[in-house]
Amino acid sequence: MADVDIVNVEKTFSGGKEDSPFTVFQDVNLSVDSGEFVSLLGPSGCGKSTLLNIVAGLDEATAGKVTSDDKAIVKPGPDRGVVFQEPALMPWLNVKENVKFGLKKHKLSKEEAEDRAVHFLKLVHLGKFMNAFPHELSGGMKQRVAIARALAMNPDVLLMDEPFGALDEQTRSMLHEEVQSIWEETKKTILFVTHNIREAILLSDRIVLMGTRPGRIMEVFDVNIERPRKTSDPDFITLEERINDQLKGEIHKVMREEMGDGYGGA
Amino acid sequence: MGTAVRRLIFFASLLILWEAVYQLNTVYEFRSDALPSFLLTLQQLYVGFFETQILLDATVQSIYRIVVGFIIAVIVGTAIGIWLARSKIADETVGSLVIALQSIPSIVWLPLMLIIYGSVGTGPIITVVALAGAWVMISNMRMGIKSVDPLLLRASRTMGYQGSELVWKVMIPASIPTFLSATRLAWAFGWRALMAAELLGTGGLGRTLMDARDFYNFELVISIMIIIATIGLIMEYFVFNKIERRVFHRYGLESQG
Ligand SMILES: Nc1ncnc2c1ncn2[C@@H]1O[C@H](COP(=O)(O)OP(=O)(O)O)[C@@H](O)[C@H]1O
Ligand SMILES: [Mg+2]
Repeated sequence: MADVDIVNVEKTFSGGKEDSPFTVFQDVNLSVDSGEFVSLLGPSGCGKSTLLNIVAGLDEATAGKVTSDDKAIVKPGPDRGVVFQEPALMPWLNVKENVKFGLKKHKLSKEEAEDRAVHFLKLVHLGKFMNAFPHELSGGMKQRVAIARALAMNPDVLLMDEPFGALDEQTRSMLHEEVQSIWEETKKTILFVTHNIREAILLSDRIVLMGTRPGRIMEVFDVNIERPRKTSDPDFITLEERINDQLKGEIHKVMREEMGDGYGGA
Repeated sequence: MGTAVRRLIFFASLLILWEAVYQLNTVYEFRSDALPSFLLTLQQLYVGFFETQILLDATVQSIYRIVVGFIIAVIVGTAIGIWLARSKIADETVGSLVIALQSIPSIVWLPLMLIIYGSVGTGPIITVVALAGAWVMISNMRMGIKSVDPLLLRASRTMGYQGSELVWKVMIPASIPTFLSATRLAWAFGWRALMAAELLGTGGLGRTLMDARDFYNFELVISIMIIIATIGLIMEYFVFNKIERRVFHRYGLESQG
């Protein structure tokens, strides 16, 4: 397992020829402990994906440093598994081959790779669909393949960018249970991006609330509620309201800036 | 009544009508020169394939030329297309040359090739066929590689793929549907270019067609046209369509074919 340290990180997009540079966030500091489940929560456009992509090594920080177990992150690597909002499965590979596709850097024998793919597909309850092609699966099933693929890589850190954002409510709550039990079993370090407050409270040890314009970390909430959590738990509701109040202020701010004086919200 | 039955009846009627016009003309002579007969055309086909073997040889020669030209077009076109998609410098220079040359009708290359090869043999004709197919291979492969879903590439990078591995394991497999559509076009363009080139050059179905005209052999002209159409139909509708449909289905795409 591994921890992640984000120190004074800034991200500025240089923009096109006409556009001026755009700073998404500055001086972001965050430490995620080994085995911890941390959610990044915030309004759309505040830089959650950008921050996650920097940890993934897909994007480069303009300033500051990001390390995993004290090693600087400079490029993507199989020590950090990523699950995107879209499943990103290879359409020409069947479900099992898609999971094995992620095992390339593991130098496994054919049988070992096979066993590993089968094991993780069973873990996400897709044992019956090993030979199906992605286009034959529902959105939720595809996302489960993507999760199995990321888990099979056995990464130290699992990065998830609104992995259930595109799914319906029922599929989502089923996947919440699956992710929780997988996390309890494997004790992976998980950085989870969402804009859904309940989802964040349900799953996380800590919730990092991000604000926008400028992007920044506004507040970090510890979630000290016994697992498995219930949305009806009074502590759950109290925390949900606290976060909601903060988030609302941010969203109003965005709306006011975008719509000018015509915006009537409080 | 199924589509197949309707089609069969339509074509049978057409052939009967054809033969009827021929027979009527022998009686009433509304056209002083002879008209072709369907039955004599069939006979020409039989004789040409099984007795004199003129048609058989010509067909074999034409198929040899299209196959070689097509394979060259696919290999060279795919390689250049991928190269243009991957290298900005190549795209800005060679890419614009390709666009310029693409607008030249392929048969226009024949005189140049005849001079370069110094003979009217198979070489210049195969080169024209390859040129006819190469442009569409290049431009489609270039687009295919460029339009690979960037998310697939990002996801693959997080799984440790980089550099040429991304090309071989992601970009190329992801562009297979584009590749197939391009090969179908390359074949169709190559086949048309081959016939034009053979009409002006030597050997093959095209030259035999011109010879038949010189002998004023009406039925032979039509038999050769039938062979040309049949080969085109078989390749485009049976071979390419079948492969394309199967592969498109696997990728979860709709085939236009
Ligand atoms: N490649 C890019 N070039 C320029 N601006 C970008 C780019 N990617 C993201 N942005 C901008 O950065 C901000 C944060 O984006 P993102 O991290 O996707 O937000 P979130 O995931 O929180 O919705 C947005 O305003 C977005 O427009
Ligand atoms: Mg995002």
